[in-house]
Amino acid sequence: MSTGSRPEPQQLVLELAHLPALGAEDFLVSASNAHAAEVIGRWPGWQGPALGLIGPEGAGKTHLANVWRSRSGARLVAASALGETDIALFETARALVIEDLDRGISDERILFHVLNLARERRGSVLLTSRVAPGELEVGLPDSRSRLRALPLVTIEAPDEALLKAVLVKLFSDRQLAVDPHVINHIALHMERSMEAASRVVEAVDRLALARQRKVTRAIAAEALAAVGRPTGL
Amino acid sequence: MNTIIQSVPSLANEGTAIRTATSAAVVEVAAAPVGDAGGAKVRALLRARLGDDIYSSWFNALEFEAFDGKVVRVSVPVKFLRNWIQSHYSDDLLTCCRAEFKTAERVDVVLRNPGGAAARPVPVPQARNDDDIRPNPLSGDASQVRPTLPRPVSVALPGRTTAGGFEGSPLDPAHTFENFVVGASNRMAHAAAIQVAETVGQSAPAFNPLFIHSSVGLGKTHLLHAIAWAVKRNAPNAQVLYLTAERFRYQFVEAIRSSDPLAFKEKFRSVHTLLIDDLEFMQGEKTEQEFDHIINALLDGGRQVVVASARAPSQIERLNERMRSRLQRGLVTELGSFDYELRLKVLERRLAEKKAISASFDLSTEVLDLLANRLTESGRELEGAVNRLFLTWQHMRAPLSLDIAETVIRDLVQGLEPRRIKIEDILRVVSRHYGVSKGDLLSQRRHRSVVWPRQIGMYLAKQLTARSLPEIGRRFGNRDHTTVLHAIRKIESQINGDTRLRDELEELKKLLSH
Repeated sequence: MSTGSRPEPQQLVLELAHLPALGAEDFLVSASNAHAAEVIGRWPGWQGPALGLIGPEGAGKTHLANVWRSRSGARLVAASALGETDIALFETARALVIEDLDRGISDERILFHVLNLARERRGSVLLTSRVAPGELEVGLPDSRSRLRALPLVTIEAPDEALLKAVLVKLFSDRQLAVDPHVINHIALHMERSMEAASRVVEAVDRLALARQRKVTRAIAAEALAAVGRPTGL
Repeated sequence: MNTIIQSVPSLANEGTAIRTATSAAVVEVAAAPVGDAGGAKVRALLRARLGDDIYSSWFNALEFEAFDGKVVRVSVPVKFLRNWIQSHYSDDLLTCCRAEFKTAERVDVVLRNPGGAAARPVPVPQARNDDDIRPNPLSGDASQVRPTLPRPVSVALPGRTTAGGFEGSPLDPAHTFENFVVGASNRMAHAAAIQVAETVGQSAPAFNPLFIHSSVGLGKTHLLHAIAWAVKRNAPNAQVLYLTAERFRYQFVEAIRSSDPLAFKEKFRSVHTLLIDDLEFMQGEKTEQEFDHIINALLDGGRQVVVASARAPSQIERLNERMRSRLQRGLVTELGSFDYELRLKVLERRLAEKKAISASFDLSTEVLDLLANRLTESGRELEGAVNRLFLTWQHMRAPLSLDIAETVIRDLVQGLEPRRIKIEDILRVVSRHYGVSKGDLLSQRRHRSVVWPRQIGMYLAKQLTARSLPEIGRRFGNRDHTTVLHAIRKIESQINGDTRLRDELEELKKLLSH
């Protein structure tokens, strides 16, 4: 099928927000994230008050954290936005996700108090980061030593089987049935991350809708080209 | 053991037994559960028919739940997997199923619930006890989406001290004297703490105040908790109060806000033993003043005060002179950084604790040696490393090799390196520590009082910097590299038999790392 050798009239596509299925039953486990999912899934039977979740960008840390939040009622705060109020809120909720340690910690003292509180009040804190705690620059010794002592679980970039499954899930979220060979093609040619998967699926959806065609390999190829090949990571 | 339930590809053999057991308990009575090996033939056929690729993408997570003579019930953990298999592979699935379940007329693909049980026709209300079955977060069970507060899991609740209507900060039940690992660097502080705990209530307290300081993760809080536990056990009526500085500040601020601060002071009158942790976090002028008043009043009244801090009284700038000298009047003792032996002992203790959870967990002598050698920062770090290795082991279920252990702690070891130590720093610290001038260290003087510190400096320079021997020689007063080599060998030959030298070097390294 031609991939648009002549300019085709593009159908206007309305940005209808679709709800990405980010619930627990939509979380897919493969070898790349199984151990992390299992360990986090032991909550409230964690062995300590805090747990580090380490993995590269796009591996699905946030989704996994959200799955835990849906059970624990944890709040989510970016490490770069930690503030006094988080201590007070933690006192009541006693479950917290602190996201992206590697992107900067706004207040190391608050991090220290939250980790202490978690121990004292039997709370739970899940901390996510792209790099292991030993590689973080942390000035306050109390926070530094607590981060370095965290038990860790790691999650890898999605493997191919997971990527395929995620693609199918994302298509199915958009009510699109896509043939396995198209899925295979996309999985083979895309960047290995959850974000890339959702970008590609969105692009495919838009193209298919604009062309009013079912999803073919040609459309997939065009979408892949449109969202870019693996970016230099 | 816990199971992964929504496995897509190639994993989760481990959980099969449990999964089957759980499913067996909940499937409908009419249908016979499919045994452990059930479906093996179907799987093989599916794989042959559809190819490895498709099989591992979509069928790895498939479980055979039940067969009633007509309908084969299989389950998958994710909604769309069910839809996908139904819409693309129903015929293949039925054909393959007939090879094993001869009379099968239909295959039902259902959604699997936590623990691996198939979607339940009848809900099992309130049957779940968090202590018995840990719910899996990955479940689609709507009843689990409601937030639940974490509950303690089979561990005693932390105790608290209360006195004068105050609630102290919580005490960790594991922080007792029995659990404190004693070594050369903390023996004195440990002994002093025990003395204090034993003499509470007597007319002449052993050391008053007792001031314990150390850098983080070396056991200050542990000792304070241990004193509190011991006092509570020895003298149940003694009013002992353990407060972190943060909590002291918080309660004081509350007192000012709600009533009059006089009542706050009054409450401390009944306290026999006051334990204050993390003094360096005592902040705010009014709070500090109040703290000074209370400490003075308690000490004047012959009450025991124990304070822990990251720094010695002389190093805490915010303290006023009177408070500083008051805090120094009893015993000021430091928990030094752990030497190799103590690190090893701590690791062995942590290992034993994990073995109590899983008897088959173990760490080889080589791995323990690696950890004790490389993780020199704090006891907390040692504990953390054992925690990490334990999780890794639970994942692998195989003995942890030296290589694996190295990978697991790699970031912690690298983390030590970026804080680059300069030869300039070494000269400064060594000259201050031994009371010789930097000029003397660099001079040609050969008096023993200068030669020894110089040799120590060269040894540290080799150990802690990446400088070559000639360069070190040049920086230590234009000396030959053979002189540097001689110095290093001399120190090395003495280290083994000389604990004091070892401690001294540890001390210097610690000073250098700040």
